[in-house]
Amino acid sequence: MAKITQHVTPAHSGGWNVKKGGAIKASKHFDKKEDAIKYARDRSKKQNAELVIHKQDGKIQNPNSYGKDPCPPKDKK
Amino acid sequence: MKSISTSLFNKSVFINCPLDKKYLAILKAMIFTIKIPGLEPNLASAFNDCSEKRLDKIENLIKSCKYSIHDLSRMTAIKKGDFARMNMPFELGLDFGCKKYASSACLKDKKILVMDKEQYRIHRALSDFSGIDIFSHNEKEYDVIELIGNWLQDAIEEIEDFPGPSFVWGWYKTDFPAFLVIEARERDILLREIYSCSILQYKKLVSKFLLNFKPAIRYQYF
Repeated sequence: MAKITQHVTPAHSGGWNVKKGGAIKASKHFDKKEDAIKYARDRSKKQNAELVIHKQDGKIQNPNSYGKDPCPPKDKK
Repeated sequence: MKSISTSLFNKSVFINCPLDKKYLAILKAMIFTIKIPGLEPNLASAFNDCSEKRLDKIENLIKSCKYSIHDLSRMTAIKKGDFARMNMPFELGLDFGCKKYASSACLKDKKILVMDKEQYRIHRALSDFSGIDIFSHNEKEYDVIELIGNWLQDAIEEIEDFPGPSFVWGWYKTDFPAFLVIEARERDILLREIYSCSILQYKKLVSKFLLNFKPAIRYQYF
């Protein structure tokens, strides 16, 4: 099953939106990016979701960590 | 004219627009929006077939697309001493001529959208255009998404419903970039290679994304 994601993403009218990955529309709008991140972080914790932060042009801020398991299973010998 | 099927003609959109770096973001947003209902955007520059002369290529594209979008944003020279780009107004004229003088009913029924970065500027350069609506996108991605979405819904009978621009914006700026990251990882290529891919490749990426993106599937009409 695909992991749930919460995105902090640029809004067209200025400011930032928080949008669940794959959702039709954004769930909340903020004027400041840090407020959007704080809200999205709280939501992510509650939903065990991955927090994904975007840049002003829409590209993902940390693409290397996106979609990767932060705690991969350890090898058992 | 190369023969094409009616179904392909009915879903093909000819795009006549600038191809400079600054315009690329507008073009990509436009292609994304056009592909939502399953239409096929076509640009003369997207094909690397050197066997065909550019003018022949444009002529064939105009005759094989029921819908056309012309953007005259670069009708003036940017720097002093530069020439104004005449290709786009020329291709617009070819398209109007095709619609007006065609003998086939299909071509007479062509739908044409003319855009500029400012709404009333074109009439100063092309006074023959008075009485014809020109739409402005203000060189903003959101505005072009809204403009194209509204036009598609008005121009194409088959499109009964089209997502609002804020929905499309959200998919384009949130879910699509996330898809690109995963796509680059799966293909084992650098993300910047995906960002700088050709328009032809970009179209394929958008198709793949939309095919699997649940909120957009209900808007596929073609």
